[in-house]
Amino acid sequence: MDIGKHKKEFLYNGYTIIKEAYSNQEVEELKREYEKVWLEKVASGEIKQDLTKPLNSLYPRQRDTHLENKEILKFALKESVLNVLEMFIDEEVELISTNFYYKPPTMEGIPFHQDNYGIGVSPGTCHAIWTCLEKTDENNGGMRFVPESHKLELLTPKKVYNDEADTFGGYIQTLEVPDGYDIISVNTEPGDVVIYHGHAIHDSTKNKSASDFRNSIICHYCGTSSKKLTLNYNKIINKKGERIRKRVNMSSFK
Amino acid sequence: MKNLISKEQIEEFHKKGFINVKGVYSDQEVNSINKQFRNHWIQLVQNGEIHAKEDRPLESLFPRMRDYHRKNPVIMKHTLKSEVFDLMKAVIGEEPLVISTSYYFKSPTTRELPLHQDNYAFGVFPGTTYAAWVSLDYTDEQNGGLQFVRGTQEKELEDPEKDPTNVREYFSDKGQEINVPKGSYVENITTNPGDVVIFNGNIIHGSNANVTKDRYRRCLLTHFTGVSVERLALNFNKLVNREGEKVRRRFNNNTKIAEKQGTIFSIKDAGYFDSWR
Repeated sequence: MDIGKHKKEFLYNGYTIIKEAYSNQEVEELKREYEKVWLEKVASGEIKQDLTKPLNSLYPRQRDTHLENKEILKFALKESVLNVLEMFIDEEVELISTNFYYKPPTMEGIPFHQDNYGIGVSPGTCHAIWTCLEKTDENNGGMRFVPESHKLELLTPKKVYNDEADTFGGYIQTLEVPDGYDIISVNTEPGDVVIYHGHAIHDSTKNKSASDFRNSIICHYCGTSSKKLTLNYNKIINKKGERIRKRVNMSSFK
Repeated sequence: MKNLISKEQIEEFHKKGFINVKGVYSDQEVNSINKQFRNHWIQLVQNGEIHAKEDRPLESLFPRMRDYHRKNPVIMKHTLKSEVFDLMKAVIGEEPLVISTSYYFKSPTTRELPLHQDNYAFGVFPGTTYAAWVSLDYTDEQNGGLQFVRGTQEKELEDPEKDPTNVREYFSDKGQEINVPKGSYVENITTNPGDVVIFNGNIIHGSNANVTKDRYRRCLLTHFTGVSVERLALNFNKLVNREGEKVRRRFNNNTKIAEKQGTIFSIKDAGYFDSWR
């Protein structure tokens, strides 16, 4: 891997794809771990089916499961992967949150947004590492990026979802892609990661497959120099796996 | 043809009433079967035919799926696997016919299937049924593996001695439950994916509850009988031969299970033969 080339790409476009950052075994073990989480939550009634959305409601996003599950935490703190991001941003990183998507067939994508709008890392921004767990493209819910949009400030969303309306948890906003920018689909294989900047505008497409789930996990990180956050400010995990606390960022929402 | 079953194994089958024939289906075939049923399951959840019930959410999300060989050519192909027909021919002693298929996910938390005899409700005459139970996961006592009472295939069909006036209960799995005969014992077996457990339709058998947190116990169960069958109750006009052709026999209005019912139609009223749509 030519790390210099990836860094250049990351700094220029706001995102870059690293092939085979995780092994097939790591990918399979992580999926198995989330299958266990699913079985236990359905059995206990924590996941409840909504008959108006029978399939999608059975497979909600699993947020911050790393706080209770060592295997998932280990995945999110994989040293060789974090080192790449650290070389991009020239400082050590800490884990803010994890989100796992089962993304069942026919599930809608997530609209265009910038992650740091809701995560609120300051000073600086958050960074994301999205790991592909199934072969993805535009047809089964793959991600799309707007190159160079990370150089923009946080934009004012057209529409902010509230907790009731937003199945993705209340910190997603809908943006329009500014004039003159391109939208690029990323096609990935299991184990590939996309590392991207917290201001990079991105979305994901609908899973149009009739029968294939499109599992993926996204982990968000901040640099050690960041002081405040909106999300999980008191549940940050450092690279040793210790829980640390930062200050709450009250001014994140415009 | 590869000799899948030895003379000794056939003798063992006749002595015990069951036998595990190892490695009949390849990993690829096992994955294919599971994938087909997973796809049906997604559709059934999407259109609301399967949904989670409040009291047993995980069990109710994964019901038995019956007779999908008639709806899905891939499942039909796996059901009609020639090696399996050869095996069944070797143990039955004549050309087999498929009566029905049942796929079980048996998700964690799913209850046990009480001890019973298959031909009590199938009503195959003359003779009995023969099951080919394809293991699609590793199975043991914890995740709901099979259990048998060795040698009981020699017995006539027992009467579970349940109240015949409560029709739904009478025809249910619980209503068909019979006790372990004195001096006999229940034997648990373990299987690997691809194994086929063959058992006689008169043997007393059941399966354990799945008490694991995270292991399904999937299987595809095909009930066969010999081609010389004259009458039976279940699917009497929808039997399938080796070539995949539909074969018809007479309806058996004298099944053991219906003996205590006033009319032969109560078995239908009870929904016993309803397939999962």
